[in-house]
Amino acid sequence: MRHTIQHAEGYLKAEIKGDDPEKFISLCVREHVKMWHIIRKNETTLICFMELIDSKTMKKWLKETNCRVHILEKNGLPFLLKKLGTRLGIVAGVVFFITLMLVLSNMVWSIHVEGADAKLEEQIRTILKQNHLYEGSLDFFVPDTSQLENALSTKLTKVTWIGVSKDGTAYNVDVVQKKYPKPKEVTGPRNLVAAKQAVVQSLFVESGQPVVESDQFVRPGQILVSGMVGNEKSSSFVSAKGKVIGETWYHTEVRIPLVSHYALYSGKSYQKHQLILWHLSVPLWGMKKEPFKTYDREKIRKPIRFLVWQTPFTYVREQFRQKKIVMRNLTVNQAIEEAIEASDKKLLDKLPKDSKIISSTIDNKKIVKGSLYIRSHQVVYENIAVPQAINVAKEKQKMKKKTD
Amino acid sequence: MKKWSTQFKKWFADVSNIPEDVVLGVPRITLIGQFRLSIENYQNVLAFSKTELKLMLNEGELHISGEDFVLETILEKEIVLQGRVNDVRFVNN
Repeated sequence: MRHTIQHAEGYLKAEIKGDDPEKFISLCVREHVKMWHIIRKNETTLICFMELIDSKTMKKWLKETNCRVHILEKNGLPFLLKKLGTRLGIVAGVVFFITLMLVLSNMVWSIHVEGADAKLEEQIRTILKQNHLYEGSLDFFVPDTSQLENALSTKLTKVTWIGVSKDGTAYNVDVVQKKYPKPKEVTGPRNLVAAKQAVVQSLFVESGQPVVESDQFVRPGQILVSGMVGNEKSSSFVSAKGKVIGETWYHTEVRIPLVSHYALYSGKSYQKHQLILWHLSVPLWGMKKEPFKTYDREKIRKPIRFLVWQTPFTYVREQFRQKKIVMRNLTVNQAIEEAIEASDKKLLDKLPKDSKIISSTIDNKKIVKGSLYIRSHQVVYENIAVPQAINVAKEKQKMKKKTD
Repeated sequence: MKKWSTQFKKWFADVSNIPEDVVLGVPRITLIGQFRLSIENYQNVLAFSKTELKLMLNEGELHISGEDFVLETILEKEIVLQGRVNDVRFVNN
């Protein structure tokens, strides 16, 4: 038992025959060849275990001591390897089986999408596929669940919340879809009234009686198109429909820094692959410590599983993206141009879809602490008509009073 | 002269508290029960069989007899014998 270390180097069980086999053993011991468990078989023979030695020196020593050796057993790693070499098929089979199991254990077997309709589910699956996540993909190449959540939620606008979780070889995607309330349409008799203070530019009336004219100043709440058609004696109520384009005015304030710093990705990236065994990390690919001076780093850890067990190995992939800090210097004129653009955009975001900015003029500009402050006013053409239901009964009573 | 040096060595071992086998180069024999015998500072194996082991020492020979002897370990300076030890004898010719 105390000679188990010898397994790695290999050892022999041998019979030493000769008139004086002790001589051979003494010679071996003098030459620092390890020997153990020596037994006398008969008068001319000793059986012993010995470590492997060069066959040439062995022959020389045997000749010197007038002995012969008969090998009974060959043990240890070198012989085992030789034996395995002759059974290459079995070895290849076992290795192939283990690698197959390893690959299958680290494969994505299923992706469940819950809470999404068929169209959204299809969309989610295509986005996941772009991120290397599909049924049958290897888990090593799949990004983190938080990254997946990010990728999904930036691309899907119809979703209020999306959660990606991993359960063994299955991924679960839970989706909460946005449910818009159906826009309430006033379908009954209605007027169109002004939403804002404006000067009427033009009217497009589909149904109803226009009450205002072009270039007329209107206050919020003022009736633009009346739903009451006909004269006072015989009137009927309709649902007024149409567009009233009015000229409105807005004030905006914008601040633009004259000097600004940006971080831009140069497009260069560097990947590092590592295998971590407990606390020991073995780099597989990519030896550079810091490939770029300024970079963003993304680290993905994937523990390697074997069947139901977690192996102590972890696969780590690090991606370095080169980042460049760019400084932008604006002249005052450029800054003004940009400020106008920005203020127009800011305004248009707030207004209804078909609105148009007719003109924008700068009222005031000043430079404080390297930033340009601009106050400007814009003239806008926009639809100011808003439907408002008519209380028919009340209206009729009113008319009765009048006629009476 | 030789006697002189051995006398001196003996005296030195006595005084310096270093074990005699180190100073004198004489064998140290350790017998555990009856089944394991280790001998340090031997010179050579003269004969070995199931019932007998003869060793050459610095001075004289050591004859061990017993039953079912197995040489468990054999190194340049030390030898470990297993089996049933009946008799350990020094032979000075």
